Amino acid sequence: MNSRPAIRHMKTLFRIEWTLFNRVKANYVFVVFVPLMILLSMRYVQDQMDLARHGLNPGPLMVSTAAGILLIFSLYSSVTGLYVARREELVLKRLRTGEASDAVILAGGASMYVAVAVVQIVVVGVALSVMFGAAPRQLGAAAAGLVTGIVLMIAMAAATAALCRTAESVMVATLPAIFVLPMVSGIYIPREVLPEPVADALLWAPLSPTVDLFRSGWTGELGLGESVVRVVIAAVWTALFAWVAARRFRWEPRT
Amino acid sequence: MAVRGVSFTVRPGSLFALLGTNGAGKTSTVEMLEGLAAPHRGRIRLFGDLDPVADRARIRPRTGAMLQEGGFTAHLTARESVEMWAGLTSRPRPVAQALELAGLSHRADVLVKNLSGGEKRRLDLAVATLGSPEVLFLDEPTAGMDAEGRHATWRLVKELRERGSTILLTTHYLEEAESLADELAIMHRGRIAASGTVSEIVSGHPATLTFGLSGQWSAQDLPVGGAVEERGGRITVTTGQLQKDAARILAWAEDHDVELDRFTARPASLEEAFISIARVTDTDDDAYDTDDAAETQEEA
Repeated sequence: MNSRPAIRHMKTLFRIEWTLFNRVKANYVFVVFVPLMILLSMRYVQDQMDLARHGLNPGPLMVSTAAGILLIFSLYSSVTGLYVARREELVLKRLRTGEASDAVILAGGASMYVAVAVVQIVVVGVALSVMFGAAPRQLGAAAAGLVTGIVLMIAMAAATAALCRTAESVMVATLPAIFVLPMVSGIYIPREVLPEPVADALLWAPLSPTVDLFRSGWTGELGLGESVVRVVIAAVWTALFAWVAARRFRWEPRT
Repeated sequence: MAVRGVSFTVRPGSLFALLGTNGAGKTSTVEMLEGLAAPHRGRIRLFGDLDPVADRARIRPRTGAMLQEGGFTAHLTARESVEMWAGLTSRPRPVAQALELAGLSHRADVLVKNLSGGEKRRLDLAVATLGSPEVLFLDEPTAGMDAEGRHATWRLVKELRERGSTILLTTHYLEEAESLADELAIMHRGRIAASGTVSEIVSGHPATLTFGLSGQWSAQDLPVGGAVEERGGRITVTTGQLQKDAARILAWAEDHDVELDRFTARPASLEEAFISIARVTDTDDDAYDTDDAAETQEEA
């Protein structure tokens, strides 16, 4: 496949979503302000936990928590809503009559939200590093966390959108990921705080590998083998959600 | 809407109209041609041997499509919408020119949500024709337009065909099909009930002669057989031999010094053919229970 038109199509779809993002000012509140508020409240909650008793440093934990929250709220829920909204407007169906491939249509639309999430994560990561005096020690692991998190969130968003009948059902369909995923993936509660068998089992939750990789970016706690295992787990979840999306995704509203 | 036994070929450079009532299966058919849906059975080929679904990447740079409705983001302006499509199209015409051709230059900076129904259709047409496609699919391009917008659209469609585009258009306006199409197919309840040129389709249907008859003369005195009907002083002759019967009646009137008030000789119209086809197909419905394969070919 010639990649040049695909890149041009991606740029075009990114530019359009950027225009639309800036046109609807409420987006600033939902994508920028709300995650930051959640972040501040998490700061308070984690203050209440005796992290030191479990040998945990709050700096790296805050970074991985922030990254996890931003991936879910800024990326996953926004992209799910985006796919359903564009489907309801028949924009996805119309785009399929053009030259862009299905993958580019989905990735192009999401790319703007990926950019927003990456900027948020980098800015918040730097701010937290300064606040807690925790310098990154394993940037490769942090980058792997970022990449696995982004592709997993997009695949999950496509799979969730596939199951949503209408724009109104997005709220309900994204609830499990918004509430359950942070609880089981070490975002709200570090797995070390939980009983060991539970903590071990939760390594296999969809976003746990990403959170572990982020944390290791600041603690350097994962060896190469452990990092690879986490990348593989994230890849398997991504493939599973992508498979659901490929089978079930609808390009036009149900009639 | 399921379609069955649909089979037709569109000649390169011609305009083919799929005509039918709402729910006849026109959109289902055109969406299969566009590659948006795959037929359960049968085959569809574009440009000779390309499959609309499997060969999508090769076909798309050569086609343009206008959906039956929508497909534009409400919060973009008309210009931004065309610019977006220019970024997704190989060799697009300049954006300003596309807006000009669609008569939207003065509305370029208006948000799509504030455009009228007719203006949205024209925006759709501007986008569908942006890459000067070899094959153009237009699904009810003039639905919801006022008369002026409809005629402007027809002019644009005719220009595109003159430049060599092959056009497949669906419509439920008989006048539109009659005025634009080189060939057409009438769809009814998911099947093609008739196809050919307008004259081929109407040729099997009777023509009519109408006139007023005054004085001592009545329908029985006329030199024609067949269906002659008299109502309110007006005679209607239904005939399969329009020219001969018209000549006979005019000669008879001349010989007897009779004035035929508002004499009109009219071949069968597409509308009459359409209504009659729909009625016949309705009564024949039970005879078509088999799920025939869709076989459609579009050559260009």
